[in-house]
Amino acid sequence: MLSKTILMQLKIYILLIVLFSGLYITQASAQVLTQEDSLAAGLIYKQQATVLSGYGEAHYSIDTKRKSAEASLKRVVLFLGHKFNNKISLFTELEVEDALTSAAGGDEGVAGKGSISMEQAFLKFNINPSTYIVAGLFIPRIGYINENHLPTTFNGVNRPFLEEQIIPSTWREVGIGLYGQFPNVPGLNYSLAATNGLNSAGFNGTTGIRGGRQLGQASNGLNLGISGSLLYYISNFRLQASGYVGGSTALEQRVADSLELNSGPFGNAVTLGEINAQYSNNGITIRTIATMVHIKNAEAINRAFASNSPETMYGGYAEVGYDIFYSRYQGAKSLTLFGRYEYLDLGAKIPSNGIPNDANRKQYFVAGLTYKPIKGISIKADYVQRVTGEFNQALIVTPFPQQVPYFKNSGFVDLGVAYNF
Amino acid sequence: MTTRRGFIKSGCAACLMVAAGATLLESCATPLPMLKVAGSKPGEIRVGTENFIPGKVNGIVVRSKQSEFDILVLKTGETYKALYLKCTHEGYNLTATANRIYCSSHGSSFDLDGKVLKEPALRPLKTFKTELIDNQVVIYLS
Repeated sequence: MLSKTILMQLKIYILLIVLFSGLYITQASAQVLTQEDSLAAGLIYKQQATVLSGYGEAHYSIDTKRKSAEASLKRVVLFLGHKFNNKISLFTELEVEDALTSAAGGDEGVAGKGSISMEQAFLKFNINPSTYIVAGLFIPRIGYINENHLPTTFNGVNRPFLEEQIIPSTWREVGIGLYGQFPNVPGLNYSLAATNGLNSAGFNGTTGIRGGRQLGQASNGLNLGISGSLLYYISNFRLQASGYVGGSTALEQRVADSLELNSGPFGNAVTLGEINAQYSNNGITIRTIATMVHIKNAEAINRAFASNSPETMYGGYAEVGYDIFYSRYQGAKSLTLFGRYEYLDLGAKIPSNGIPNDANRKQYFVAGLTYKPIKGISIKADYVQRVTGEFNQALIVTPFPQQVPYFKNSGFVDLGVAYNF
Repeated sequence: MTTRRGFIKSGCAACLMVAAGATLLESCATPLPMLKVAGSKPGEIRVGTENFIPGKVNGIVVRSKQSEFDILVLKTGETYKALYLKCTHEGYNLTATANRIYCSSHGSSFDLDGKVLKEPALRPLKTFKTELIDNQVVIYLS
């Protein structure tokens, strides 16, 4: 009886705390500054500020071969930043993908297919006006889309496939990064970052290293990832080269030893290199990228996890876009027609205990348009033709109807809307 | 289908072409020197007009302890404009080149009037009032 009374009092106290917190937050929210006064608006004298912003996108996709379709609120991201003073700021991004995360017995009555994650949460320390350090969960500069992934900034309803399947965007890890500009070479930027490494238990033959990202989750092992980039802006060109090397054994040494995996900071290292170039002028945009990934000791990884991990993957793409409204609106409003060709080989080399699968050799032909009635809003439509090699029947472990038929040549009609504010 | 060897060869060739092109472009580009100045008076920065060399240097990146971020000062004819090199998207520093201003962090770009050319930034760059006094460009920070 006594415990029930205490419990009731506790509940009342909690309720009061929540109510007062709500009042406090309401008052505090009145201090959230407008865009003009915000973190992003050039505060010289008023040092502290908090800013809210975000982006999101919804997709509708028709698979013309399978005669099926999918509608999804692909992602909604809420950005919250706070500037403590001129030297230190906080950047966070909370992401909800596919709208709903819920257990089967939850209020919504359906099991959610979505996920909630922190896409970024780091402190930024300014060393001087062009050099800074970040520490926390952040996105290293690898490839183009990884850092520049806002849906209103790229053509196509989906992100370029190469930059999801070979460069596993959005690839964020916990660590520390240094960013800056070379003072004697105007336009030349650099970055150097040290993060936790990948987890080879998540590698596999169809998604490469994507499943090995640790994404800020508690990870075991001493493995590290080192990445660096050079980014050069000159005239209307953006040129970048970046690389990554990192250990892939995210296990305690005793466990790694029992699985016969090399451990330590760079045990069974994954190396990734990429170069990309972009030209943009008078409504014309051309973008190209080439990348290659190598997984050392992929045979040992396959033996430990039976994952059919590849040893080498590579690919590239080229995209050309033209804003047909450019001469009239100079980018204030745009209608961009674009075409992109992508080539990916997720199993360019497989270890001796791997099973080859020509379906991992893919080509994508993408054509579409992006309409931007104002900056911050995109309405997109595209058609994607995916052509692959033959699917290896030896990899089919479940019979029809669980194993859906595989089409070497598939077509997709995609529609999407996106915002950024 | 492309072979691995062929892919590496094409990649290297493309890389060399890009590097050669960049070098060529760099030789044509107008230099954009950085000038570190001490603030003579709170709230203003002064830049000597002798730093602008007709036909060679029309823009200078000015760094001062009075300003959190660098300021790009551009000379057009006999007028000067000052752009704050802080991205209006998430407040990162910007990289100025001879004909554009870029955010290396999230890909925004601006023209030399501060107008947004490419998202995610949505608002133009902050500009400062300038005045020419005794062969000095005075930038008023407030």
